[in-house]
Amino acid sequence: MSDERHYPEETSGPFPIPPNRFEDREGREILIKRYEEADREALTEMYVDFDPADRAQGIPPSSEQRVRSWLDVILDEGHSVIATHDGDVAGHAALVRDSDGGTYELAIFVTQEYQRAGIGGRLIRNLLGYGKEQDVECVWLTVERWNTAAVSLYEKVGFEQTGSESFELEMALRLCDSD
Amino acid sequence: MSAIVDVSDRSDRTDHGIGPFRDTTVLKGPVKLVFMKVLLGVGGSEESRHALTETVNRAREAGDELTIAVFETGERDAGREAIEADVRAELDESGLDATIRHIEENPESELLRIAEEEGFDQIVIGGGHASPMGKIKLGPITEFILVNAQVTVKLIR
Repeated sequence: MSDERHYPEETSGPFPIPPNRFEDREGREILIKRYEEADREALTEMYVDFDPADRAQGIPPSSEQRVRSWLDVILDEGHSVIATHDGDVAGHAALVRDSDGGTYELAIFVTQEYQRAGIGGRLIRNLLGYGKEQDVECVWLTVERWNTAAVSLYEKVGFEQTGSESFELEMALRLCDSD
Repeated sequence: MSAIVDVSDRSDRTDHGIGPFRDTTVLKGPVKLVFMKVLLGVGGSEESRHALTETVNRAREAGDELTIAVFETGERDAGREAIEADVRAELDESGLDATIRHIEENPESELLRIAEEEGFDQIVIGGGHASPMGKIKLGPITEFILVNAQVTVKLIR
């Protein structure tokens, strides 16, 4: 799979390095920071309360037990940033390492009450800044074709559509030149 | 787990007093499976391997008339001889008698053609694997069959 994926030749960026604070479109003070072990319970709570209608391609899982084991895997095998407001986790963006090497899959989740406020764009840029700092070279993702808002956000930060024909669009981005 | 359950083996349905079931008795006790003419597509993937075991087990219990169509899916997967050896081993172990045939190319459209021309009740395929993030992705063969089939499709993942 990933060995056939085509990545852009040009690198994307520059991207901000977390932590960063900003005011979202609703006037809320949002902090974007690296995920730390101390954030685990708050992040679990965000996913347990996640609106089932916002689930995509089977994630996040639907029960607390499955959320916990899913987080065990994705937090251990990559890099994550979270957006917080008043102690609550409003969003999470993650890079998870492919089993066969140095490429990473990206996903981003924003809870319903914090959507459409500019948080997703900040999360993804800060995640890419953090990833570059951690020597992540290539990033890919899949997105449902109808989700045009997400597709245009991904294009804005530098993702390009790869050739794969599927129910979902596949997109890829290069963070650093390979050595 | 079966993601799409076929509607044709609902032998556990109860009498609602309407339609053709008016005079039937409510079934009690263990669910009785109704036999079907089943076409199982088996490629070289892990998901196909899993679908094979499940489908053979169900066929033995229900007395299905099972045909297993073997095809290659890509250079990273097992070749047809290796797949057929797996299929024979599974059948030997279960004692089930099934027909094995080979599909040379275009397995997705060939499976549909065979199912429709030869009057199969159901196509069974394995598919859907998780990405590192845990997203469930369907392969191109699975997608094609789900979208284009005129008979019931059972997806085992």
